[in-house]
Amino acid sequence: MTNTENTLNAEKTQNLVNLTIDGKPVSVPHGTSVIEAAKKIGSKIPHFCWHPGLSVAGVCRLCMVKIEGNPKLQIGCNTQVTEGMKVETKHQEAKEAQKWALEFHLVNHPLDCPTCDQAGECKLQDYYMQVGRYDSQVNEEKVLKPKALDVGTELILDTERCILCSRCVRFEDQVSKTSSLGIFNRGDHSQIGLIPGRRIEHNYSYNLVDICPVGAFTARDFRFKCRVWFLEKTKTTCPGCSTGCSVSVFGNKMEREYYRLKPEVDHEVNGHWMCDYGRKMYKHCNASARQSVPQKNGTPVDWNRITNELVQELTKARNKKVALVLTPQYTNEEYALVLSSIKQILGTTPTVFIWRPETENPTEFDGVLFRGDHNANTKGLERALSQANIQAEIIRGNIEPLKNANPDLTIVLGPEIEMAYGNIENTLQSLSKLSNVVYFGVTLSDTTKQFSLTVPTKVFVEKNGTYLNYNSMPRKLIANAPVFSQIMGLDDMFAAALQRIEQ
Amino acid sequence: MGYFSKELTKIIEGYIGRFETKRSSILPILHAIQDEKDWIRDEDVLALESEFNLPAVDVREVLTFYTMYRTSPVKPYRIEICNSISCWLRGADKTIETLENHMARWKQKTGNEPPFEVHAVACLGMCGHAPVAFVNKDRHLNVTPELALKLVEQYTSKNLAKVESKQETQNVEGGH
Repeated sequence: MTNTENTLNAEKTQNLVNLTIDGKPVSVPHGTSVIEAAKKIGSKIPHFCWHPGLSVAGVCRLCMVKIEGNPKLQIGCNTQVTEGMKVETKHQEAKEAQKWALEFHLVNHPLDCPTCDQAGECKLQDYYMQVGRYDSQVNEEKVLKPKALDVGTELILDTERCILCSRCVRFEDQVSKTSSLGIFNRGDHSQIGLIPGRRIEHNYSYNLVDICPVGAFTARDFRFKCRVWFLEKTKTTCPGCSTGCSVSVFGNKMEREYYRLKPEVDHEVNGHWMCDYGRKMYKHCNASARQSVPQKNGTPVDWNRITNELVQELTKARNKKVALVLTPQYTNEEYALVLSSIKQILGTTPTVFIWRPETENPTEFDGVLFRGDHNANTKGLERALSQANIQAEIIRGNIEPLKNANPDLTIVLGPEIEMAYGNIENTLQSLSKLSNVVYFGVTLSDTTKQFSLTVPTKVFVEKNGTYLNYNSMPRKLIANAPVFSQIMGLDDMFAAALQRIEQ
Repeated sequence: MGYFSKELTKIIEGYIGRFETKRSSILPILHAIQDEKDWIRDEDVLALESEFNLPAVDVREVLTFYTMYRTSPVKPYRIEICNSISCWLRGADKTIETLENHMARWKQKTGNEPPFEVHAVACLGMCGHAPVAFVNKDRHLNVTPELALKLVEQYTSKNLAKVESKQETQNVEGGH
């Protein structure tokens, strides 16, 4: 009786529950599950169906734990902590149960790991190494099910590999709210499926690949391209829209090639998810899509000489009209540096224009993550300009206002992700008709060759810096080694230019 | 005008309001559809979604889970023979085997699919008269192999839906 009262008092006063897991004391809020509490102290309980971003299903029966005083093992995901609970995650009984649960998961699994894209980050493989029976007793014939089904623009479904954890079904019900997936038939003929003739075609379909603990859902974009153990991840921020989700970019360092993006857990911004549009943000980073060397009137210029060229252009324009065209896709640090160093070199403040997409609806929001403003740093640019006390005019598609300013030198910080600008070719064409243009950009095109100076810039995954998202919340970018080893960032170039001037 | 008949629509609406959650009504609704239309088509599932707002995925999950919902066209005569313990002890498996052989011979002789199908089902609750069988909705007692063959002949040759029926002839729908 006193014990119960004590428990109630403890909950009332601080709403924390004290328990021990594997002998270690841990305090967690009331209502936490054993699996979450164990995660807090670094005890990893094997699990398939439980996902922190979804409801509890309790179907995989893998997260068995031994709780003192309980005659039977309990599943960690659906057991809430209680005061004084003593949990053992590595108890022999629990291990034995996990071993057999895993054996049953593998009864109808095709074991096609050599051709499966999930191999290397597959939970079946991971847990088999951890708790598996190395001498399998399964010699029954496997139930055959449909493979390589075309279920959506981004997805391929292999129902044989599926272990029926129902994460994808719950994702479709609870996150994307499309309810397109279900588990049909029963027993060992159960399979994940859609209503005949329907497909998964929402903007969050790629998350199904992430949450699938095995290789049942694979990404069309990543299938058969690279084994995952060759990939290294860089935690950074998605440049796709003003939400600024925390993501990891996966690249092969040996090939200097990027392959995919995956979301990182960030409860303040994106939770566990990211959108399909954001998943494309690795494409413009790869060498085949980029210009590698600076060009002066169409002829390549050595990287060593680029600072000279830049300084020449800028010093020539002293006491003349200079226009600076900025796009909201650079980091806060780059804006600050470019604005201050140009001012310092010229001695005057240039006329600043903001170049935004021709057609956009920046206030649009799909209710989950994706925003209509497809530029990562709109807020950052606004802040940089207001800090520098500069009033900027916005141009979209039509560059009349810039032409009317009649500048002797125009410096353009072109968009990194041109996809967000729709067709920028027309705008580039009209820019190239201006007399003296220095263009910083990423993508290779014939038009960019017509500028008096075209300088390739680093992409988001090669920069250190910050973006401000729609909510003015700063998010970091972490630099990876650049795809072109000699490339200079805006920071290097302008710092060197300043140094040159001072000499 | 809805997709389902007036009577069926009324039944479905009744079930939908009856339970705490809408999903709970799926089971009886599917039974009602099967009772009226003999078997359940993909279109029926889609119509439940479009007209009654029952997610098609939920309906399909239930439909495919239970084996007693029919999802392919049925033949005119459906013979269900109990093979639970009492009927099995009294030779239900012999009856089933005889009918299956009869089906095979029918197909061989005429080249056509026989107009009946045989299913072994669980207890029909008439163990005192084992083995028990249903032909469509008529109950038949002590169905020995001989009686089973006679029943098939009676039903098929006269082309009657029901031999000893007091009810009106059931509407038999052809294949799709």
